[in-house]
Amino acid sequence: MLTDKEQEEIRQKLLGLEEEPPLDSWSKISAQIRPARKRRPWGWLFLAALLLLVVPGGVYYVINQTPETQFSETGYKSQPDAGAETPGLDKRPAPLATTPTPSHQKDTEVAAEENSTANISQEVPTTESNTKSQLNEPEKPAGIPNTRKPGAIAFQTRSGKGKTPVLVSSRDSVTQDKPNQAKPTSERSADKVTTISIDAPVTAVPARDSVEKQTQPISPVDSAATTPQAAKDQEELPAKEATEEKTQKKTGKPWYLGVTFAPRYAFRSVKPVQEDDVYISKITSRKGLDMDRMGYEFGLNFGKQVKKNLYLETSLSLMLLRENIAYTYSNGVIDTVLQRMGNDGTIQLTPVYAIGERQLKSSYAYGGLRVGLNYFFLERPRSRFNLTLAGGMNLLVRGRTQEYLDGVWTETIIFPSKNNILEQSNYNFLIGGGYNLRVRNSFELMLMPSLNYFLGSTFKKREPIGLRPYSVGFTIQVRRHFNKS
Amino acid sequence: MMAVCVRYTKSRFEAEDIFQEAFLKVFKNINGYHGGSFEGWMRQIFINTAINHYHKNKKYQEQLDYSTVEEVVPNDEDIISTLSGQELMGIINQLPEGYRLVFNLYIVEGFNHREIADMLQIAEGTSKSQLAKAKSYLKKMLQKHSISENAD
Repeated sequence: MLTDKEQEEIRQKLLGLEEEPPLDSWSKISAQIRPARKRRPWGWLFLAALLLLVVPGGVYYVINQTPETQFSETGYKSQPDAGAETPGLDKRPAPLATTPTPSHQKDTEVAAEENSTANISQEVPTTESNTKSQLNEPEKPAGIPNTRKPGAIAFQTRSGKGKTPVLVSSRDSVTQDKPNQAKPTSERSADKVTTISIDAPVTAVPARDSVEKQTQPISPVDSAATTPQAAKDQEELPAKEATEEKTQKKTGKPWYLGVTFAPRYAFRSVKPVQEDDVYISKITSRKGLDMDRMGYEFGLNFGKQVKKNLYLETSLSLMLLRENIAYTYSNGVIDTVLQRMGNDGTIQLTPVYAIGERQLKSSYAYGGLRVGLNYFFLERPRSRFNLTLAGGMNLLVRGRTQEYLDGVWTETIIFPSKNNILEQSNYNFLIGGGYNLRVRNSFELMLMPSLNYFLGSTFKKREPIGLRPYSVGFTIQVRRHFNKS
Repeated sequence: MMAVCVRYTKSRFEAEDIFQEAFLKVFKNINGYHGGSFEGWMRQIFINTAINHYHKNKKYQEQLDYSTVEEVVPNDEDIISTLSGQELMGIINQLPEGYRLVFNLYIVEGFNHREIADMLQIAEGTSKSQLAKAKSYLKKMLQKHSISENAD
């Protein structure tokens, strides 16, 4: 047995021993520790940032989008028209709830002339029938008798070009209807105007610029309503009303909220990476359903109508996907050399490479943001079909790959790594066609087979193969509709 | 560090493989170094790599027939001091793989038996037993070497 002194002596001699490292070791090591290219993570960051900027911006735009033509019309109506400021037109009282037909204009001119000598703020009866008839027969506004109650502030009609009369009240502007609701183009709008005018005295008033002139001969009571200040106040009313209308239109578009569940079965297309030294001789595919490739998706959806049958949909999703791939490979190491003698007596040597089998069982949890379009067609009272196209980005929240070599577990890789949080994130496209069934009044159930294709290999960096998975799923979505038309 | 690799392997080629593998680990795990002796941290990686190498190749390693070791007369002479480091290494490398590993870890690196047992995935008693046998075996080999040297 060695003594302690001998042991210490051995230790000192061994620790003092120096060995020269192999000359080519550094070149071999440096080739393997070459820093990974940083360009790709930056690219991912840039794309992610771009997506995060563009998508909410797009959604915001669509949500706030209102039909330009209607707005312009409303704005136009609320502004005094240049034509109304011409001297000839200034003195003409605007007809109440009339359409700008030439014959009508002529009639109103005659009526205005008649009224201008007496009372410019032409008072009209407040009865529903009278108002109605006035709306429906605009060519005779001046002939309507004055039934305004004493002390009541006159209603005035405002219009540009005398096209669109508006009923406003300086006394009770809150309860007044919107200017555009007095459009005589539909019976419905005419009714609205009529309803409102029941409780208030109505006076036919010419266009804004003629208010001052025309209010001269009005009695003291009436003049209170037709002073310049009152006219100014009334000028502001249509603008307010237009704003209110705008707000109403903003919230007026149908939209929905939905929850989604979709079982997904993963397929893949595999492409060996040529530059790798490993030779893939066979990629094993299991016949039949492999439960290790079954995944699920859960989502929250928000959709808003863009056109009649077209909805823009945004969804946040959590996808739990699984993958199982096995391949037979060779590193080029020769296991056996087969010797064979040819007919001519030559000996032929055939190398047999050592092969191994590698299996990778992976599971991924992705957080996804997707934007797409839902087109509905073949609509029936309680059902309709839809076609969905969507695209988005998936961020890998957590992934795990278990590696088996020749059937023996060797390693478990967890990702994304701290160095690259965008590792294995990718883009995806979804296409699907489904059937929608209305449940109760506001709810809808959608059943939709869909294909989800992922762009960007999930394996390329780690493995000698590039793997592009796509999944076939069955989407079940329940939505609740709001602001249904 | 190359000397560490040589101590745990039978051949220079194996040692070079371990050297490269261990160096790669050092570079890849440099973020895992949190202060202390850098040389000690690095040495630990080299030792672990060598032990992993031993585990991988365990089934292929030949076991020496210990009965072939001759019994020699103990010599009181200080044999070790007459040997160079290289010679000593050569003799130690002739120890059976398991003995050599425990001997290096305990005598040279200074690990205790519990740590060695954890590293090699053996019982603590086995580590002690292996060390005792390694010492005895080494002593006999040194004496044998001495005799043969004297005979020359």
